[in-house]
Amino acid sequence: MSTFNVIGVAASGVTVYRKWLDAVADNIANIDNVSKTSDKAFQARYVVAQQAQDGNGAQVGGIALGSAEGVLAYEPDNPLADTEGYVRRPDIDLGGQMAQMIMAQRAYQANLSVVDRARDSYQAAINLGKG
Amino acid sequence: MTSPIGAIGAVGGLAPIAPVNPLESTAGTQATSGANTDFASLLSKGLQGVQASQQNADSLAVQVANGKLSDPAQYTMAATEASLGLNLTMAIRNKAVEAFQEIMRMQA
Repeated sequence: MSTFNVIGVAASGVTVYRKWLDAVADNIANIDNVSKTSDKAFQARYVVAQQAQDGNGAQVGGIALGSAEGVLAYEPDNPLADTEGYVRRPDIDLGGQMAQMIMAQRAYQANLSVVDRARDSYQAAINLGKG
Repeated sequence: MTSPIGAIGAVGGLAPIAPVNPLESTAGTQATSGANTDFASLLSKGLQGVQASQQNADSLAVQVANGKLSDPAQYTMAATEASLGLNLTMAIRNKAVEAFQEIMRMQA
C-alpha cells in the first residue's frame, strides 16, 4: 500500500485488459487456421481475470483454452483434407471476438481514466498543502 | 537522517527562551512523541518511498527505450506516480523551510 495506491490498482486493471486484448488479437490472427482432422484445431484463448493476490486490484490467473475439436469443414480441394474431404477449423466466432475486443478496449480506457482522475485528485490535495 | 530543523539547536544558547520548555511535558504532546511517529522518521520513510518510485520509473523508461516493455502505459503510470511523489516532497519541503524561516524571524 503506497501513498498513491489508486494508480497502482488501476495499473493492474490496465494490465489485465491489455492481456485480454492480446488474447483477442491472437484468436483473430489464427481464426482461419486449417489443420488435418487427425490434428488439433487452434484453441481459442480465454483470459482468466481474478482478484490480485495482495488484494490491490486485479491480475490474470491464467489462460483457459477453448475447444481443440474445432469445427469440421468440407473442403475436398484442400491439400490437408482427409479421405472424406474434411478439414478442421478453429471454433472461433469473429463477431464474438470483435465484441470482446470492444469490451476490453473500453475497460482499458476506463482504467486509464481512473489513473487520470486519481492524478488530478492527488495533485489537488498537494496543491491544498502548498497554500 | 538528521532533524530537518536541527539547525535551530544553534539558537539554544539563548537563555531567556528556556521557560517555554515545561510546555513539552504536557500530556497532549506526549501522545504524539512515540518511537516511530516523530516527524524526522516519517519524512525519511516518505523520501525512501519517493526514491523507490523514481527508480521504478527510471528502469521502466530504460525498458521502453529498449523495446522490452510490452505495455508503455506501465511506464507512463509509474512516471505519473513518481511525479506526484516529487510534488508532494516539494510541498512538504517548502512548508518545512517556511516554518524554519518563520522561527528564525522570531529573533528579529
